[in-house]
Amino acid sequence: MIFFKRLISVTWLFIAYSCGDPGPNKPHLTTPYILPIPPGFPQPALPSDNELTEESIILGRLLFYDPILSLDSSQSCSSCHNPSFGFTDNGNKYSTGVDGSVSFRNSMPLHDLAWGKQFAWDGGMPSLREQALEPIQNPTEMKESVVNVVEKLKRQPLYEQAFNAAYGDSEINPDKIGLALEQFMLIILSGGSSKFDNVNAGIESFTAEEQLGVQLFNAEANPDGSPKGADCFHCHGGALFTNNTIVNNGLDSILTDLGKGGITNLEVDNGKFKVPSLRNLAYTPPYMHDGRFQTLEEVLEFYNSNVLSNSPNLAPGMTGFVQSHSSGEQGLNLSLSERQAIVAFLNTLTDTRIETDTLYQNPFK
Amino acid sequence: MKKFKILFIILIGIFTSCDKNQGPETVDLELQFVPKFNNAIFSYETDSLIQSTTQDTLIFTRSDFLLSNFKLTADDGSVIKFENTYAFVKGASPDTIKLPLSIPSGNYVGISFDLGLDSAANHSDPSTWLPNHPLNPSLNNLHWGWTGGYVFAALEGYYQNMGVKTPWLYHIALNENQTAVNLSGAFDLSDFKTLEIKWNAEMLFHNLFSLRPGIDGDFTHSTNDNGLAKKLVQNLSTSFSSGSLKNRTP
Repeated sequence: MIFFKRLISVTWLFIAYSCGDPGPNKPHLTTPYILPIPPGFPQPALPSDNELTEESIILGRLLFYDPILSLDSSQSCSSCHNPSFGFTDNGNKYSTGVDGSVSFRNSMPLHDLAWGKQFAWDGGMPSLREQALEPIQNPTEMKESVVNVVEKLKRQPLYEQAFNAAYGDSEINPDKIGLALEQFMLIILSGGSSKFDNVNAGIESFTAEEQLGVQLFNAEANPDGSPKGADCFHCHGGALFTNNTIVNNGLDSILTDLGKGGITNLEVDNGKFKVPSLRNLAYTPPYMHDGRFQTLEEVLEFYNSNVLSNSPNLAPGMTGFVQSHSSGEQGLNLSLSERQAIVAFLNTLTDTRIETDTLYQNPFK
Repeated sequence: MKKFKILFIILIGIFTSCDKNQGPETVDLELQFVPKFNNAIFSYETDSLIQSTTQDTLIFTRSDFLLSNFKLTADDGSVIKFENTYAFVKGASPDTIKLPLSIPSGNYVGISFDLGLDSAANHSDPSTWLPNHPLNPSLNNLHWGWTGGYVFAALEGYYQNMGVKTPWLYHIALNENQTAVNLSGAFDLSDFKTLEIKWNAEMLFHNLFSLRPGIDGDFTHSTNDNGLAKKLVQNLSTSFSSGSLKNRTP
């Protein structure tokens, strides 16, 4: 069955890119891919040394969905980044590797990475091409060496053709694998077709509850005033719903995971994690770097009243979340209905294209 | 004889073009922003700084600015305006800013710029700016989102509040807070040069107003803050100063 699927894929690739092998003395021709930037999104700074081409994206997509990249060919990148779950791990808090090892962080969604600057929860990866090779070699994930991956790919005619189409020669090496995976991840978008985007385009309207959620989302913390504010937009503002920074949002006073501090070994970075995009939240529970919250309601409850002022290196932007209010407690002082309104608004950020766009789907199916 | 005349003219031309005393007719100007605290270089995140006047212990984690409306004033009083020139200054890792190659070589007595943006730029469509443009939100991280314009100055850090490391955050925004920064001096721009512009971080807290985070407020987003943002803007407007002016190879 697997052979049959591969045969179909090979045939498909040959048909689609029959001109992929230029032969001697012929220029290598590729088809540029123009990233369809959703309305309102800023212009991304795409890597100038890895210009998007249809051929490289197809190669990256093949690699992303191919379990051959793991030690026992049981797991692909998509095992923990499933498009049906917004490219996260099937609702799991932690991911399980090929040998049963369990990770200690929640699998991150992979959309809108074209605007990213540092990758992984701790920001430890400066580029997607480097990030792409990490899980392959991670002993708790795919547990394979890139040398072995190269050798296994060389034995597949499918990849000889695909590398040829992408790069003009059939040489397979880790750099090319990283670049192709980078290309595939760069084109995964969430934006332009959610209800939020449709409202902005004048196609749909928010309900009264969603509209209240918008107002609270965009208002500063104001626990004793009216209207109140949830102060979400400072870190999650703009079309991307993230500022792509790495900060401590006050989850813990005693840190069991140092986050960025574990990368830099600087005390001032302890407890800092990447601010995730809020797009497609409905697809991606559980939430936070360690998946501690199962629902958005739990997340809102945390931001409303449980941000810890004594958390090391609490982000200055969290100041409003720890101010005291008239009840003598700290927090945003949002009512249950106000928190529900924010959740209603957040659910308008769901973009079903993430699981339906054929460009993102498993090419082996 | 005629050939000798032509050769003579050519040689004169060559020698004239090699005259090292003749400077360029127009120059550009590179601006190098240098954050300092009490006239000393400091490290963001890690250096605890003592505010000499108030004795507050401060840490800066961020001082990002959007600048616009650059102008040079010549010694004859004429003013060169640099339309549509914007700059994003990231305090922790500032890039240089280059005013374009349209400055008549000569002596200048002032340089000015606005901290912030005019209304048109502030409310421009942020999605239209190219990836490396100072106003691209993905580059500067200073856009408020779809509800408003840009943050003109994002100043953040920590202070010691009764022994506890406490965050402070001052975000200056809104058109009413666009403010001019005027620096006077003797700027010999007869050649390609780099002008150091110092941002004196201590003056954020002690300048026209003396401000203590623990007393006067440790955060503002420029609204509902009992006038804190207005005081910060006035402190900021005179917190820049010109430094060295050095020759550089264009």
